[in-house]
Amino acid sequence: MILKLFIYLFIPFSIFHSIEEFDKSGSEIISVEYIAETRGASIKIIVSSNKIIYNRKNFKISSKNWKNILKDLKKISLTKLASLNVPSDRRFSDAAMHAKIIVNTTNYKYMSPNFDHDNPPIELIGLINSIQDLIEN
Amino acid sequence: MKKYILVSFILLLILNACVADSIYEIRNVTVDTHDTNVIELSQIDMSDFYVYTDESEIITGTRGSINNQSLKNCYTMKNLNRLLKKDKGLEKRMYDIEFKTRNLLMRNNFKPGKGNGGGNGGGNGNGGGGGTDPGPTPVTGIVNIPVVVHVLYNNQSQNISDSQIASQIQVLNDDFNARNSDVSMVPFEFSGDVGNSEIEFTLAQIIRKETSVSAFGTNDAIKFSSQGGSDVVSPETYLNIWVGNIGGGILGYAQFPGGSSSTDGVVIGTNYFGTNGTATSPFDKGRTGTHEVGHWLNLRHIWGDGRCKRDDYVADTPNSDRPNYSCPSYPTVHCRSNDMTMNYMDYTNDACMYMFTNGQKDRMRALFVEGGARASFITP
Repeated sequence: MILKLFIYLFIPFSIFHSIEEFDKSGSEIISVEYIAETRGASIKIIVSSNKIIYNRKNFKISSKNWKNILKDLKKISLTKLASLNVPSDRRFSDAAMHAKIIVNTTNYKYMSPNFDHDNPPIELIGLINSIQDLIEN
Repeated sequence: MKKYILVSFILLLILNACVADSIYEIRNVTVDTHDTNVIELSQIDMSDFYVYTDESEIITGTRGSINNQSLKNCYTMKNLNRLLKKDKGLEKRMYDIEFKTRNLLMRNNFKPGKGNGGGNGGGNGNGGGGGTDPGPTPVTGIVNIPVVVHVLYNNQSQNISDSQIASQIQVLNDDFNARNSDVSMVPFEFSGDVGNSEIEFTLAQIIRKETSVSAFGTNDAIKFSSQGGSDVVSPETYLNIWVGNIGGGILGYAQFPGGSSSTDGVVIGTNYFGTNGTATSPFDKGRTGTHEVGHWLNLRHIWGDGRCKRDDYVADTPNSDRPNYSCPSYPTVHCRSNDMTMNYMDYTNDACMYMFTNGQKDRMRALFVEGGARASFITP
């Protein structure tokens, strides 16, 4: 009886726990995308371990720079990416491009909500600055 | 072992408490809804309204009729309060405008669904519905909007001609009265939804100013002389259109009703204004102007700026979860229905957008009733 109670109570917790763990360790990050679009313009950046694709053109990436991106991504909870708070909605009346971050892992595709190109959720600022730096170099 | 039993029981208690709590919440809600049903007058569902949003659907799950009187205590207001921190005044004003719009459309039985596509062409005919208070009556006939065009130029080619300005006014008049020649391209599926908004635009004044600013961006500097722009002219009775170089890939931008009057109006990039002169393909048919003035008249993007269930608050536009670009072929399917890619409030090329719907028309015209956000444009 007590054992049953124990199982009922703790199995759900342990399942939740293992999903979290799986996400952190079992899944490898393949690439991260920054997409910003509006009527008449778009910016598409895809960063992976071996190259950067910026508006369909390929560029090289150093392993140090890729590690930097991974470091920025570690600070972001991928499972919470879709529910980040968006600080402004100027894109609703076209005053900003509609932007989003997509993280592709071996198992999942994580997508942020749309946000204003010039004003990302605070959690994404570090990552986006790093991506921006890559493009500028 | 005893410890385990103790811990288990404590956890059980906590769990039970949670369950009990949630049951209580649900009951509470039921009772609330019932109560509001008793007062029959004006039940307006505001639960899907948002000004600022993340896409985690925070506001969903609260669907249900909310009564006028109970709005203050209702929990959609809690969401709103959280959001209000960003710009308290603006949020409140936009909420009020939305409430008034829905109130009017509901009282007058504007249900812009597939069924009454061409039915309410005159925009009137169903007197005030629902009980003792008839509420405001819809405006009938043509609504006339005088326009002030501010031309900001950093070089002579940006000092666009009168003829280019006239061409934009012409496009607005065609598009807001379904007189545009390409309306005939609307697919059969949507042909009954085409709305004639009966809103006319008259050029009242052109203000030309040389500026040292080469790209204004979208921070409204173009609307202030002190920042190299041109000050707004009587926004209560004039639509202000600023034409200048915006930069940053932005063709034009607008301000919804409810915003600050000193920045009220729309801004259009020099190369996307009108149909001749500096107008550049594929944005040289004046539709950037139509789209932005649509926002100025309270229209949202047709896909609702979110996922499938995010609404543009217009019933006769299909659900979609994204904008369409360039010139999509028909049918383009998103969210299990054909997108209305030819609607002015999508993101397609100028040549590929050619209609408003009846629902959009009703939404725009709701601004002009007594007490409405743009009622000051109606001369008594």
